[in-house]
Amino acid sequence: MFNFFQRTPKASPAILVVPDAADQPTADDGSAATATAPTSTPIPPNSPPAVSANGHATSQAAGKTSADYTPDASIFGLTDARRAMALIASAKPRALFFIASPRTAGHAAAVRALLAEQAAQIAPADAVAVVSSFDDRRPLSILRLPGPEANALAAGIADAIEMLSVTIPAAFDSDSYKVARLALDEELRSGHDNAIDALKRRALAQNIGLLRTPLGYAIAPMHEGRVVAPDVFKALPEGLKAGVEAKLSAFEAELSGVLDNRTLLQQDYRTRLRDLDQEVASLAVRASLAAVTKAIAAREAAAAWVDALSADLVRNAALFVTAARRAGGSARAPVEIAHDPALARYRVQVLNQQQSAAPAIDYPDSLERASLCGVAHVPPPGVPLTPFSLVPGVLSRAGGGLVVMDARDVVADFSAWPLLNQVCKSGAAQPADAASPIARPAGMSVPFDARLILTGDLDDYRAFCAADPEGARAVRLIEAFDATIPMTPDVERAFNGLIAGIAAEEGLQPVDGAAMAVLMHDRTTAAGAASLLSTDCDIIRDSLILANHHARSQARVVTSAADIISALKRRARQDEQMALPGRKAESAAP
Amino acid sequence: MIAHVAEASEDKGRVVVRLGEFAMSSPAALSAAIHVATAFRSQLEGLFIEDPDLYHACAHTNLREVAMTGRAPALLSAEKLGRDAEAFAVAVQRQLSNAAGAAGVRFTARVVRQTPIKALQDACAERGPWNIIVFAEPIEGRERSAFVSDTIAQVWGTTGYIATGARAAWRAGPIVVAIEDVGHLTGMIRAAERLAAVAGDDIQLIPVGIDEIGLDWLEGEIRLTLGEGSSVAVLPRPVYAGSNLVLHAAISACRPRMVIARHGGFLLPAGETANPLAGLGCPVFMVH
Repeated sequence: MFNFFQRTPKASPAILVVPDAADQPTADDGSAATATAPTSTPIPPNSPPAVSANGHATSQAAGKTSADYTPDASIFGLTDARRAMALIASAKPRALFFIASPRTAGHAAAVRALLAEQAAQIAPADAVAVVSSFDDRRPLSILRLPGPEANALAAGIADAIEMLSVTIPAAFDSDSYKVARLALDEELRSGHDNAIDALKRRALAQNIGLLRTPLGYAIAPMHEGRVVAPDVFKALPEGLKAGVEAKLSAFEAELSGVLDNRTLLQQDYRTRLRDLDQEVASLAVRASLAAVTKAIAAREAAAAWVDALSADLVRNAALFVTAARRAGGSARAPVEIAHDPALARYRVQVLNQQQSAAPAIDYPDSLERASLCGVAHVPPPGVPLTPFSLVPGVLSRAGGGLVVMDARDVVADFSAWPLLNQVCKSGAAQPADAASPIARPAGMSVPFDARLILTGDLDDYRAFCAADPEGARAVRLIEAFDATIPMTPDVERAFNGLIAGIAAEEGLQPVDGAAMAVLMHDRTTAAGAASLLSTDCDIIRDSLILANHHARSQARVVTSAADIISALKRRARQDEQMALPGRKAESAAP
Repeated sequence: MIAHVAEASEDKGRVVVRLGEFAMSSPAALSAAIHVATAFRSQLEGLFIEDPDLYHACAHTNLREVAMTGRAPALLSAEKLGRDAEAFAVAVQRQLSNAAGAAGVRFTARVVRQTPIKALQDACAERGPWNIIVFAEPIEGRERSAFVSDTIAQVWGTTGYIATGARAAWRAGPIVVAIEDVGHLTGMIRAAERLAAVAGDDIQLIPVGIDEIGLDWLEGEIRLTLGEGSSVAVLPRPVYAGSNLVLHAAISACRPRMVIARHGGFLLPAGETANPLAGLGCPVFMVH
């Protein structure tokens, strides 16, 4: 290590210090630099002095360029940030974190990358499958299954429903069913008609006629198949008349009984017809669900649900028959079956369908309940709620992954925070009612297993704590990246590597040692102390790109300190014009 | 059939609709009646038959009526019966006249107080032997089934009968002819052609029987009669399996507009059958 630049007070005019012979530049691997260093680098007046930070020896030796350093565009403090954020993967589901990091694009990208690393280490939680409970009092049920099994269940049930759309109508159109049904109909009709016929015959044998009237039957005395004339009847002996009248009364009572019995026969017929229909339907249902039943036999809750589904399908087999009749005998397209509202109750909706083995990271677009917890399209009264009516939100589809939000958004729309806090505490997200976004449909609650992450800088964290001091206690702060870091030899080396890395990434020409020194000085100045270095890589990258452009316009093949100074001036002018909050905040930092 | 008479403008071909004995008419039966009248260009007559015994019985001052609705038995006077019967007769006649008017078929209505068989005998005898009787009420139960058999046996001057089961529906479909013997083959095919021509329906023949060898022979005869290039289809014959319900199911599967069959055969046995037409699901044009 050697001191290439000698530190000077911030306000002092620029002084160029020429390295002595003993302080020959070395590359970051310690080997001697072969390039001849210029004896002086022209620094224009008012430009920042090129000094090493904290009096440490710099490696920006004369004659060395960024091409002599191992490129490494990693952001400063990445290793420490990774170590700090390891807490996320090891925390329990529904834990709350605040990741503090400067608001720069480089830091944001690094935080995202580190969150992805954490998500990859989290064991995937069971998927949430929303299914009908086949009970109107409690319309929906939740099944928890490993993701692949949940997806297989959903696909298997969809296949089975598609199959049943063909097999159930076919079963009810079979000759065997028709004959059985005819026999049953026959039994009902003959049961009633036979009773009336038998009564008529018995009555006629006793000279009593049952005559059909517009509204029922009239009962009259008969003789030789004809009604007895009233005067003949009156002339009969009293004893005989009394006997006939007794018979009339007896048959009247019996006829009333036969007519009343029609209702019982009808009930019996309905029961037996229902049994027949269920018998026929159950054959088709068992066959179509055989594969699914076998696949989930080991999952007790899912197996019980498939049993309930099977019973409901058998009970409502007429749905399939009616749909087939509507289609007029032509085959229904799979998409038509999938979107048939009458069959929606048989749909399995997997809320967090993971595309990879690692849990998902989700970034909500909005903090409204509908966006966070989902939307339930509650049907009109009397119509059963179906899984198909639920559109999941960020929290309800998060699974065991990470839900990441910008703390500024949360503070700006603080009404969302109590909801988020409550979801993390209760472990359940209740979707909004589509008809009334404020209302929550009863019985709709989706498990929440993810970890909730807020991101922002330390000012955001302080604002968040001020907004809800009580709630903030439940949030664990992780200071992933600092705006400044202490200047050490390692940091200097990393700084040189960073310039080399950016040059390589952006396809820039080499940057000479003086230029690197000027840039480092700018970053220490931005940090507010000579012993510190600003970690804002965005400005370094931007300055290098501008300087590179300037050098090329001057037909130079190596970017010099003058180019960097030009670039910094240009940035300063631009910042003044735009009054960038980031720059202002940075310059205001202690 | 009645066609040649009607075509000769002798005004004798007629479809006599026997309106229900206090049972509403089957819409399928009425549609079939209109279809047949259209096919044979004949006129339609709605015949409402009152039971004379019932009116005699009303002379008894203490005649009671047991209502189907479950109402307690009540006295039935001649006036009340007359009012109820008239209202009913008007209702069923209007139902038929509306259907005939819509189809442009000439229609007459009549109410007679006579025993049903005698009333039909008189109606058919009036204008010669070219009548078709349509039973408007659904034929179910032994009593109505026996009435159909009695009508076919005792009423002369008819060439066919149309009856429907309780679940019969009128719909577009082929005219299915159930062939049980060669004797009726030509006449039934000709009738089917006239009926099919009205709406451009297909004609399908189905051999019916219980004897496999006999059926082989019958099918051969059918194909010989039809000849090559006939547009009439011959369907695979159903297995009898000891019950005509199986035959009904096989024919019903064709979803026919109307079935032409012989009364008194395997498909439609004569006599007291509890529900002879239950399984066919469409009106049946019966020949004897």
